[in-house]
Amino acid sequence: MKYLLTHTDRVLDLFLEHLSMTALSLCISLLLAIPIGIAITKYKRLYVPVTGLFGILYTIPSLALFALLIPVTGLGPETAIIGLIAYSQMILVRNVAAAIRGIDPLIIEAAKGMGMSKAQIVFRIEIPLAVPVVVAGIRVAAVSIISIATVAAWINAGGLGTLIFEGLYRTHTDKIVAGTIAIAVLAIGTDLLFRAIERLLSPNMS
Amino acid sequence: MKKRTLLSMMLVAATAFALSACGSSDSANGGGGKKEPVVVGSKNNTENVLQGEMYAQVLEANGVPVERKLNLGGTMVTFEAIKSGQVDMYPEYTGTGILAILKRPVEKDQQKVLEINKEGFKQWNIEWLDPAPLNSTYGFAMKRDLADKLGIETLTDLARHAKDLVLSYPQEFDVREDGLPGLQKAFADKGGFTFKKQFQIDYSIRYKPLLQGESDVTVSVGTDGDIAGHNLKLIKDDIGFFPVYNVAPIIRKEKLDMYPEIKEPLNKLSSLLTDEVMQKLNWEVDGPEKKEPEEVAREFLKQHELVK
Amino acid sequence: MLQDLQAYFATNASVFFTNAVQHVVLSLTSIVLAMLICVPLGVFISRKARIADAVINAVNVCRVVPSLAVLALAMPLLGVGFLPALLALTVLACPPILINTYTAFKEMDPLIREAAKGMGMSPMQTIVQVEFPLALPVIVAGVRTASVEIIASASLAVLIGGGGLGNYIMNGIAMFNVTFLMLGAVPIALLAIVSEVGFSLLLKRVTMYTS
Repeated sequence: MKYLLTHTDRVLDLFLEHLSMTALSLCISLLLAIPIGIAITKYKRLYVPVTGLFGILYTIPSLALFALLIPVTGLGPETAIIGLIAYSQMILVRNVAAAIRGIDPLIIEAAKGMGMSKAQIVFRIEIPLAVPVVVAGIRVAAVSIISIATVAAWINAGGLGTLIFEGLYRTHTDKIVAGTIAIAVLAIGTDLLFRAIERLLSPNMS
Repeated sequence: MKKRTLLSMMLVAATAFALSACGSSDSANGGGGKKEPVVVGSKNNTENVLQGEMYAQVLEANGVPVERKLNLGGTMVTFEAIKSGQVDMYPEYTGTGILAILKRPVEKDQQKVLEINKEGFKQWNIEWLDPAPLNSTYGFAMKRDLADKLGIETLTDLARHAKDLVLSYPQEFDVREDGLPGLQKAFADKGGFTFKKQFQIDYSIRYKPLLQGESDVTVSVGTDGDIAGHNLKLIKDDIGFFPVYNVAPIIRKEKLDMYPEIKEPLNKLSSLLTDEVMQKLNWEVDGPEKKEPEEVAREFLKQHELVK
Repeated sequence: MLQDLQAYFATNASVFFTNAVQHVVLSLTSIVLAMLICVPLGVFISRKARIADAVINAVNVCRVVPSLAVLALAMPLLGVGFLPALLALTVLACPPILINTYTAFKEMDPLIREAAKGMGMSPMQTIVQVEFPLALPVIVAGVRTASVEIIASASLAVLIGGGGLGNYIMNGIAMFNVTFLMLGAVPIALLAIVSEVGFSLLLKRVTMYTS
């Protein structure tokens, strides 16, 4: 615990580095996952191959995936971010697809009956109904890539993993503990934040 | 409606935050004042971090702006970084230069080794400054009682007993020509050099398995404080297998031309770094005191009036 | 690249197999240990509503601790080598198995238990002969999740002397050598995929069997 108190600035810096690395990965990932998720629900033949591919990607150990990316993208945060995007795709794409599939077709029929246009249905019915499920997916993805990003310190991407590696290198238990606590705080905080957003969105939207 | 606006605001804020985090680090690289900084790197081991920290502090004392990228990784990672210009200088060993980077055969003459390195690194516009007298050569260390019981003094003795012993080694050693593969070749006609069991341990904690009794032999480095610190026995290299590893600052030519005044104090620093000095400094970081490398470097440089 | 591999295998084929076997042994043993601990524990807490919440919350908090941190913490506490790595991996394997076992038993229709009681079964008989087979698909799903995580985390065991295929990944990264990277990364990825496919087949079997 001592390190956390004596080197608060450094822990905070690494905390922000960790946060920005995972936040950026998540944003890019979401921008990819939404169109992919929509595409595989509209073109059902794509669903199995696409989710299968991401499923396989997800099973590759993070250290191995980062290692495999090094010859292509080098060392540093870029490689880490690509890896984190690849991991979060599986969770996000499945959730986007599930969110859209989960919308009761009767509601769409009713909206049509009320004379809504296609655009109105998408923006006023489908998106508001799908958002809570997608947010749940974002939450799970965020928590898991916060954890995976720890290993990214090994390929010079920085973040809180740096503390754990340094602690391991020099048998500095305090540093390991400080890093672990900071990661847990970040992960639990993220989880709670997204749960709050889910709650905000989930009751009927009127 | 309200809630959706709130959500989109949150998303925008998150994206902006993430982007600004990236943007700020870019601007720090690009517009760091009028004088271009020298990026000092190092591999991720105590000794090199200490040396990198010393180089950085000496440069700063001479009014040269410095950016630190210490603790980068293994040999090739750090070398790739200087080759591509991500770092401008880092401490490298002469033996590693000719064997691992230039892939030349082992050469015993220290002066010749330096010549080969200077010549070989010209293709990347990287210069070698004066090497330090210290020799961070690979070697093997054992607990005294076991080594004495088996009568192991030299590599030849170790080769004879290897099949009954467990070896722990840091990453790289099992695949480097100046490590296990080279030894296996050197002893190919003399009964080989194969251990009962061998396992890797992270470089930084390479003495732990030996001290804990998980292994009988560990790979050591000449300047390790641990050998004296734990009263271990260093195995003598009786066949002259291991090359000499003198450490020297290697630096991109363009940066040396930009700041020629750093050459002299860096050379003076190197002349001070002997085996004994480095063992002591390494032990201050790795031993029970657990000092930060930055602090150990500053104390040493102050003591020798290289910084104020 | 192939030449490098040939050169390595010419003298070190047995070392590679030792590392591969060690990777499998580490993963498999930690999963089995975690099952031995967590399946009974999960059943137990599913009957004790009062402590269940506390346990599950604690496990959920532990779950966010990255595997690297657990392995790193094992070193100062337990030392280096195979055993500390094995114990760290066992800790990592526990949460998904415990949570799934708990959920499966907790969500079981109370009528089933009543029916078993009515047939004169003892509580133990009910658990083993009735509830356990019904809970099996959910438990297997937990073991599946744990297995993929553990096969991945076992690549970090080498940091604390635990052996395994991480040996080559560490060498590959340190030396910037793609050959060695692949020698570690490809078999680990294959192990993970084999485990996924194996469990999804097993899951189909046990689901068919229960329904």
